[in-house]
Amino acid sequence: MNCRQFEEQITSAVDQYLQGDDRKEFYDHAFRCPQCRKAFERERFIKTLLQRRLRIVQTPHEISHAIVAETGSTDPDALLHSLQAPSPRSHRTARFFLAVAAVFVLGFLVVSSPSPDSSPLSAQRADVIAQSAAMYAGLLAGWMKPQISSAEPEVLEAFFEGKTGFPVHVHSLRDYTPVGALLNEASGVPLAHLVYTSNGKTVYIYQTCWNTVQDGRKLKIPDQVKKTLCAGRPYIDESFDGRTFILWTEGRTLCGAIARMGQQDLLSHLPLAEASLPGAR
Amino acid sequence: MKAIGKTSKQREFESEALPHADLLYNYALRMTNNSADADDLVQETFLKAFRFWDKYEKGTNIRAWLFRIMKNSYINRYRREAKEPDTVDYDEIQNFYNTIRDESADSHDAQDSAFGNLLDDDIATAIADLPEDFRTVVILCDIEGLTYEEIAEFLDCPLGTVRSRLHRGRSLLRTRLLKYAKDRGYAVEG
Ligand SMILES: [Zn+2]
Repeated sequence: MNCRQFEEQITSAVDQYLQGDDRKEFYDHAFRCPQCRKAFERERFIKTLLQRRLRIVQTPHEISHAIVAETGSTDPDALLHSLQAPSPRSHRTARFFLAVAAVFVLGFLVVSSPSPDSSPLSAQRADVIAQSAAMYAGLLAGWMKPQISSAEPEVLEAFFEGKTGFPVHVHSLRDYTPVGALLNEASGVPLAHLVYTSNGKTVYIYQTCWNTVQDGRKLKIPDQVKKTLCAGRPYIDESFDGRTFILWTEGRTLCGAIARMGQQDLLSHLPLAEASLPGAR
Repeated sequence: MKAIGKTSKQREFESEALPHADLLYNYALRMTNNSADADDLVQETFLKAFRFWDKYEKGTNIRAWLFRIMKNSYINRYRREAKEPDTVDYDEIQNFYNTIRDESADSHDAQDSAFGNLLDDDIATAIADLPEDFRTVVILCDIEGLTYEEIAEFLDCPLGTVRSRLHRGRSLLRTRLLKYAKDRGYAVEG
């Protein structure tokens, strides 16, 4: 058994589904290979932790009594409807944006001119910087799911073909290869997302319609950032807790890149025209 | 028509469906991480089950049937506003996550003891924050103690899918718990 085969068996071993030779080979490998043993122990620890800390609770008596009473009532459907009344807002959605807001507590995240008719939540959603930061966090944490996984730029380009109304660029990044992409929308405006990796490091690229952002009705961007971009220069920010954020335009497309590295490092991977690069932000 | 005493439907329902309330209640509680929501979800599930009781095929897995009703109710209530892709290949996601897992997750490995300081609430919150598919299998397997076979039947998916979601779910959970431990300042090995 090699390390890759071992990894595939970890979950079955944790849940005690391995038998006979499979089981023997698994534990032999665990004995010989400290790294694999560690991986096995980690997963087993999580299971044990849940079993120990989150015990099964009994259904509250009021609930069982209520069910018996309701199914015996003349009109259980009326009760059903009252229970199905939609909750005011998705808790998860709210929590997600709050988490993102907490992570990216940055001056420029604050929308420059608060629109009178929108809540802070929707204002934040319309902000392209907050949006791309949220997507980046979401992809890494597993909130967001890629719709296509491929290292072939042509395959990824074909995926976006005809779906966006602005050209999506699948850039060649120095040293990095694409791994996947997804497409979603905000206020009806398509957003393209691409992820590149190299040796376990990730570069995330966000693209949307530059005209729509300039127009400012559906998607917003702080004025100072817009000014920089309109002057043909990239907007660079390094204040993301060790991550760098770079925005630039390419024809009708607004592109953003986020990665856990310094600005010089990130710039060296991006296909930005030398001429457009400033000495500083 | 049904003024006096219980109908046979009610008696049957109470003896066959109600004994599984704990399975549903614990699932609801861990999915929502909120007991009021869990109460509503369980009641809604049983009321729907009662309403469609004649659709239940006697002798088939009633736990799976009830679970699916609850899962649909859950989705209807908590489906996120943002549209999510609905056709997703989980093997692809698996590969994708393996490739792009947060670099920071690897750089600080923790002593298991750091988890010992976490509150049960932290653990419950970390579970409730997992992506839905991973959350479901982790709850059913690690908290409710169901077998892979039963989970596969509940979710109507292959055993391999149950296993790979469990693997990924536990690993995501570990990453989150490490983060909590670190945020709380507990000893996290460098
Ligand atoms: Zn090994």
